[in-house]
Amino acid sequence: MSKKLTIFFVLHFFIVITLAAYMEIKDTIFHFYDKRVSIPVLGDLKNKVYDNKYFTNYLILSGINTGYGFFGLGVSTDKYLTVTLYDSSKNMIDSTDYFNFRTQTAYNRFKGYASFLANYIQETEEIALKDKSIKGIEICKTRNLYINKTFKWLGKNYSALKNVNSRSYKVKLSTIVSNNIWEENDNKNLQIYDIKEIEFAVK
Amino acid sequence: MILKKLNSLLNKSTCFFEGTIKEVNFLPFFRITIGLIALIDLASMSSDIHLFFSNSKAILPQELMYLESQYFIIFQPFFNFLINNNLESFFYSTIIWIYIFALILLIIGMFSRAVSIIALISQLLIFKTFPDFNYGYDNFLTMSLFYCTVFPVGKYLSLDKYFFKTSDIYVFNYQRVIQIHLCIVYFFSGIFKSLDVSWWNGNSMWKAIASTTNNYYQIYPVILLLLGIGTVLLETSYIIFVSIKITRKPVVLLCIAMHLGIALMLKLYSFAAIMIVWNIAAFYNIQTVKYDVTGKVVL
Repeated sequence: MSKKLTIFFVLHFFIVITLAAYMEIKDTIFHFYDKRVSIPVLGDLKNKVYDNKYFTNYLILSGINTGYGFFGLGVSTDKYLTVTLYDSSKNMIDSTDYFNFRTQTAYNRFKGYASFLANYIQETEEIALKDKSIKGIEICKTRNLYINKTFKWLGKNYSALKNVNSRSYKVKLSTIVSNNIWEENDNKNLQIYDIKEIEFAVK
Repeated sequence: MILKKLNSLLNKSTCFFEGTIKEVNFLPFFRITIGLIALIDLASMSSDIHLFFSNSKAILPQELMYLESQYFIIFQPFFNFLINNNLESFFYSTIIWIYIFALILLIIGMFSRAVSIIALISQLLIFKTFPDFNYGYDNFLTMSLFYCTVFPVGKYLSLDKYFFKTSDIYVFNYQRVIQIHLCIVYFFSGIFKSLDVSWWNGNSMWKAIASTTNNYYQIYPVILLLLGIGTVLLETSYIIFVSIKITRKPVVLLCIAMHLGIALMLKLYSFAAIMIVWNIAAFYNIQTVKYDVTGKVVL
């Protein structure tokens, strides 16, 4: 029994280490050289073995389908979404970045989603710049549709609950501009940059 | 020749995992604290859970939440099956209660292994349907519940022990598994940070804590510099210093302090809690029992 368990955990940790190493090397190369390259051995192991459906199920069940580089390379600043409701005369009725969240735990998850969306938008813009092929254009189209739909739903749910007089709503994704803390007074005030905003009519 | 070498390697690995001293309270501590953290985390977002997980009230349509994730191939046929059989509302209304019930049974140690499996599957079914709203805590909870299904977590301080009179002896050092996993986590996390110059000059620390809802961004750069360098050094060298008996306690205490800082500044309470539990479970010897070669307890 002890030997069987040893074999199981040796294999388990082999997967944990190789997956973590693969993800870190891939992200490090992307961070410094801005390109996705195939990594010998680890890349093959990931693509040919770990992406196999039986293996994927094991990785999902055991929770090891993850890297450990949280807050690692290129830490990003805080991102947040805001929805603003307007009446027919374009006067602001209501605005929030808390949406309908009442608990800190859930709101933290929502803020994580804002970071995901910011990365997704940036990646889409990069694909649009680099890949001018028909496939690239199609990918960008699908990704932009996803962004649009997401923004629309986020505002729609809030708008429907909040005010019957609202005629339009604007959903905005903003970020704190990263500063150099060693430049005088740079960390005394926060600067906000709007990554994307889309306005929708209330139907 | 190769088989002989493999066998000797296996024997060495087995010795590494077996040991003669085992932490008897590790198993109940891990089982109870993981169950409690999962339950408290769920309770702390109980009034908002429907915004992530529901068929009509979610902040985004459920399929839009997992569309861009690796779970799409699993959930799409699953939800199609539920919709086709009119089971969707039944699923949403019952799965959370199944999860809660399984966690309660896990905490009291009733059918520990079976309920660990149920809790693990329920946790995946609930939380992975909104993977873009997940963070480190969710993965660590999945790993913890997975380990609860593999480890004999019902051996001590459990109703299983009371009703089924299971044996006290176990030959495998399960605490070692958590120790190795934790060392891997900190090592990779530390190496990744150390490659970024922003962690060595405090800028990454500022980016991590700056928010419109607090004033941490006004902290003196020197403090951020020291915290940044301290974090990188602590995580990268964790594997070395926890292996040395004299430095083990201070390093684990520093890690706990680091996670308390994460809880306080980033408000990631559940993540901090689960990492603290892993650290304590892995390295704190609450009550050790020495075994002889036959597996009997040496008094």
